Amino acid sequence: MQTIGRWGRVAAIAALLAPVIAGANEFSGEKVVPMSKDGIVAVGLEVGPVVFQEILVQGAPSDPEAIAALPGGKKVSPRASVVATHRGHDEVLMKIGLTFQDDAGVVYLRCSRELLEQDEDTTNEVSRACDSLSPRSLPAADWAKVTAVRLVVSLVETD
Amino acid sequence: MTFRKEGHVFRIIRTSVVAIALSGPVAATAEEKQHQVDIARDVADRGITRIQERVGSVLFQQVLLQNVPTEAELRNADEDDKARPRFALVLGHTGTVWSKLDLKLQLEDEAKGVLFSCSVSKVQGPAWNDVVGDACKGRWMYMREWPKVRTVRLVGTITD
Repeated sequence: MQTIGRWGRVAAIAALLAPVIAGANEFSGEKVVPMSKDGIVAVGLEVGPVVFQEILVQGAPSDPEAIAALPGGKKVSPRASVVATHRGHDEVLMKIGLTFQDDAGVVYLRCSRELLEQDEDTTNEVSRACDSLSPRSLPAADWAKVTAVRLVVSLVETD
Repeated sequence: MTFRKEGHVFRIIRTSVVAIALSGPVAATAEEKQHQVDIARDVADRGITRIQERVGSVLFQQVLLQNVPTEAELRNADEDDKARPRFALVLGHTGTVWSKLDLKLQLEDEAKGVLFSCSVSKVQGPAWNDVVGDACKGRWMYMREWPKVRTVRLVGTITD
């Protein structure tokens, strides 16, 4: 199993690097957007041929009142998905990072996903963005302090 | 004779057991509550159509229209070319019981004529912005009818 895991990682890194070595186009971008009470966060970030339309906050309420109504001492494990439209002609490999923070920049939760593929010419595709979550859960009281989400994206076009 | 009597008693007991067993689901069914769904919204420019309507325990947030034909595809389409749109349904559920969704998603023209339709079934528990994905995958409509699309409609039932 360890061997498969190691070779899987090697294959994944090779897949990410191959287009870079071949001189494929690379793009990156980031944007901080306000958190919304319904957990549907409008983004509108264009990175190369891909437009990131919105972030769907899942696994926990986003409305401070609903968070406060959770049982006392409750921990939450929020997740997120991104909705993106790709109007280019080449498949892309993406790395996505999300940071949930307050107005002062204090970070309460990070999540990320690497080597996410998106086919060319797709509309409003929904992709999980939180394969890796840090911390794995947090007190609901801390989650209620989140007022903004930072989306960081890097992508490369493949053939 | 005695053996026959015992057989008769056994049948009565068996029938009673079956009746008691069946009465459980019947009682549970009586507690279920069915809600009718009929929600129509104009299709938004980018295919992200906000709904924000609660039916029973389910909060319909958005319909994402996917695999939309490009302008070039529409411009160059032949008479028989097909579009294969898909939907992703974004919904929340804040109830304490699970809900069964039986829905039909439709794309309609201005006169409410159905241009495209498919069914979605799901059992949904508590959730925030869950995505029911790949709805209508494999179905198609004629590309030439795509410019007539005006409305997305959800019809069906939710059973809490």
